[in-house]
Amino acid sequence: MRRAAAARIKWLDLHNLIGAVTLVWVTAVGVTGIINTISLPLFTAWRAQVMPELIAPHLGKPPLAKLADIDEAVATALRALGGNVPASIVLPTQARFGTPRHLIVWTKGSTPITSRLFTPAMLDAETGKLVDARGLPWYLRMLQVSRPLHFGDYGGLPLKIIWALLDLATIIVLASGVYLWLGKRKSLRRVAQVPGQPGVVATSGASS
Amino acid sequence: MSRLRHTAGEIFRWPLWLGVLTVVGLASALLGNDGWDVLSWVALAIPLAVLGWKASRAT
Repeated sequence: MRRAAAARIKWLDLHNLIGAVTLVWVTAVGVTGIINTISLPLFTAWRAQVMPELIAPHLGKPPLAKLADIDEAVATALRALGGNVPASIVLPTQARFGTPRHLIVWTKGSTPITSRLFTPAMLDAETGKLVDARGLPWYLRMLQVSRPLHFGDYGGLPLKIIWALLDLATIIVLASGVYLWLGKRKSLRRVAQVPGQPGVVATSGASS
Repeated sequence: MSRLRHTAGEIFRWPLWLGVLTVVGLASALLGNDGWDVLSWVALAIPLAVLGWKASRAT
């Protein structure tokens, strides 16, 4: 930064300095934020692809006569997805997050990255037999892994503090950017009002 | 500033290194716990420290 310069130059230098330091972080948070935003249509599309296939063999059959043993179903699911721990169970339902004929056991891994990766195992609700545990498609895995990069809710308290500082730095960049932009428009107008004067405006290219 | 002209390599060397540190910091805490977390804190704190140092020199 240039010392002992005008306030505007100081703000310009600070704006450029913080921008250069935080660029990568801002990009990471921005891109993962976009991915997060399109998560709902992505999940809906996946469900529309998978659910009809699962329900097809049961179409036209009478309602569930009995329910399989839940503990055994969970054990079966964990055997199919070695190393994972159970996260939640969806019982047979008409609602959109399940099917009327299946138990869905959602599991997750135990390392920082795989604990974000939820993998479902579908089991027949009557027999408790495994139907499908092939996991989610790549775009939903990407979505799940991108969440911590957007929210910064990983890596303990120090990372959260760093996240807060980077947030503050980004706010300064945005505010100083607006300030500099408004000032630029004003000085351009002033220059235009003086006839015969060459239009000189302070820019980032000016050397000290 | 000692010279008026800088090559692109000279101008972007430090921002590039700070960017590399940021990527390392963001990724390492995802990859593991303990040591990986510490690596992440250090890698992300360095750009912030550089920022604080350079910003405070102006006043």
